[in-house]
Amino acid sequence: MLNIKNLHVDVDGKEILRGIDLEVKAGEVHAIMGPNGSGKSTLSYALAGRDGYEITEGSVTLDGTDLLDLDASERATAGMFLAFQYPTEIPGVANMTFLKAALNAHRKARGEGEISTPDFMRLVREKAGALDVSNDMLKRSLNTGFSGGEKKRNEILQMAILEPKLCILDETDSGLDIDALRLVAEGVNKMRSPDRAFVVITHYQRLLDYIVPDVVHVLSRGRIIRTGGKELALELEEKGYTALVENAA
Amino acid sequence: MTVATANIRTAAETALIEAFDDVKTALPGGSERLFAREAAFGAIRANGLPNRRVEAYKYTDLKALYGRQAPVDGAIAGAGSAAALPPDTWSGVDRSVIAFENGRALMPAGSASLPEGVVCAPYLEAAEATGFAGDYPAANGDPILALNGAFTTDGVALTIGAAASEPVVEILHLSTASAPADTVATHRIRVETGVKATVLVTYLSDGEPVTRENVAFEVDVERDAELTFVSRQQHAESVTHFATLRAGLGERAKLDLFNLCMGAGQSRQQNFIGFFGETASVVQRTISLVGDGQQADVVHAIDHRLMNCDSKDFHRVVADGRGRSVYQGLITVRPDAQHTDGRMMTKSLLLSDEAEAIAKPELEIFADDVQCAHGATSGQLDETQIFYLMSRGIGRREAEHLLLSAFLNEVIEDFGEGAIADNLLSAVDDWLERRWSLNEEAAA
Repeated sequence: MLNIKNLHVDVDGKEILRGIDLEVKAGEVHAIMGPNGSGKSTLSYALAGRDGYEITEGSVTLDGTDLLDLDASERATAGMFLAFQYPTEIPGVANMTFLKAALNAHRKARGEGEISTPDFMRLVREKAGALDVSNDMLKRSLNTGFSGGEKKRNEILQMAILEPKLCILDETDSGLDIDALRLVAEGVNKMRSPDRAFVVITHYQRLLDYIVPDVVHVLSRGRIIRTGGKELALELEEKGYTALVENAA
Repeated sequence: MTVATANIRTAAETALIEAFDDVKTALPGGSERLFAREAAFGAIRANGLPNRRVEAYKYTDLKALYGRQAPVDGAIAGAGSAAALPPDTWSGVDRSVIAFENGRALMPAGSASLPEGVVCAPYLEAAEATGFAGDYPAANGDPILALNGAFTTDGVALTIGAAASEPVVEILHLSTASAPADTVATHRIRVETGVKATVLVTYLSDGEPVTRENVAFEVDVERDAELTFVSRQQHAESVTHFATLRAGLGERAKLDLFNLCMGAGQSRQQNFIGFFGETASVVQRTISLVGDGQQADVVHAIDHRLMNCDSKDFHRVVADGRGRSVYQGLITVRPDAQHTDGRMMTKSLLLSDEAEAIAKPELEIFADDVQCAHGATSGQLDETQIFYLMSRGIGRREAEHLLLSAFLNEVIEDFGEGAIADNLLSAVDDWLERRWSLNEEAAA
């Protein structure tokens, strides 16, 4: 599904990613772990198409579509979704207005008409209930004044409504208490399916207790230095990154 | 040392004085009106037109504007017929319409079907019959007002008294003159004690009229009365538009102003507001939408003369291309105006590198027990917010539209709900859509 080959990315003229190769098949969950500054968030922003993340070499395809030719919104309608580490607050734009605009953008890209208001309300109510997203959160301005947990639940709600092919979760566990973490993980697990893939970026093994990965990669200094099964995460938890990074150097 | 100064007239000023002397006796009204015209024009005879070194007129260069074209009476350019009126200027709003084309009433005052409680007379007759009886700030010496007083040709005097339901009256100014013309009108609105009323003012163009418009309002909101006054200026860019509102508030009176300024190549909206009774309040909300080559000048002066009055002023700007917005706000608190609460805030979003937003908020406080605040911000659209919206599949155009609407609509939503607010929202929406189309055309 997702195919990354020899990806090099510069930010502010400095090379952050130095040749990433990654293949994620449909139905798989890949975890990307690594110390601070290893390039995890750069990878997620570069894939999502954020300005300022310059791809100097390499290719990225999603189900054969060249993502690097597309802007951020086209990548999203092509099936990619990034759950942000720090979701952006947008005062004045109601969460519901935003959700509807996003869903209709996806429908338009698929050649479908706009969703009717009753159908939209039914869909949102169903998905929001499972994630404990209140009516109040839906009415308020997007992410504005939301707690850390509310923001992350709102990200997963968007994911549930937009039903992407590929979900990238960028440190979704940061800032969450144990109950919120469980709720978010349940939301993600409910979406696991044979035709959807996940890339879970995290520092800690804890999230992977809830979202069990098929493959674990360790990222260091802009490269994947080791790949293994879910037991690799446990090994990292036990030994830390330093030993692994030094061995790889 | 005494320095002798001589006021040397420019060609524009000389032409203006000659034009006034030529037409003054032909303009409507009797000898009292002629006296009033001379009195108003005295400021121009004595001081000429302000140059750009005069702070209040730094950005509205009257010398240059009148240098290009001496005043021509709108009537000469030819008044049209009522058939030319746009179909529905405030959709869904139940109201009476009093229409002016190129500054002249399209039907005799009083013949429009008016709501219960509203009495309407031609301004020039009413002004001569009753003199200037209402309470509102004089703003003497303001050159745009001086020109209005000297050249005014028509207008209405509305007296709004008690009625079973709140009256809504629209004053519509339509510009159609294809030859250069000045359209000068003056209106008077008196809202009687305890009465609630709404006045809508609409400025529209048919085609690309070469009009210089100067409209003035004298507004007296009497004790315990409430006036909602909404103006929407959507002229073609060929029009130069000046509007001046002088409003006085009696005890416990309320004035709710909304000004949506989105048309005309050059515009200037002046509001001079004074409190003539205690415990009165005014809220001014303004949206200036300024496209490439346009300039919107907003001048607000609030005079807190008496105790316990509140004034709030919210101004939002979106400027694109080489558009320029100017905001000059002044809150004056006189020594007797203890317990004043005065606030003003102007916020601008600049959509291009060449767009300008100039803000000059001022406070002059001579009382010691007051609360006053002013603030000004300017910035660009937040790329982080745009990226977040785009990462959910929303295209750049719609993402920008969502953010700009959020920025502007906050002021409209704060003003209220209902058909009037809906008309304002849809006018803003149309402007944002048109901006995209124009930018796309320019890029193609």
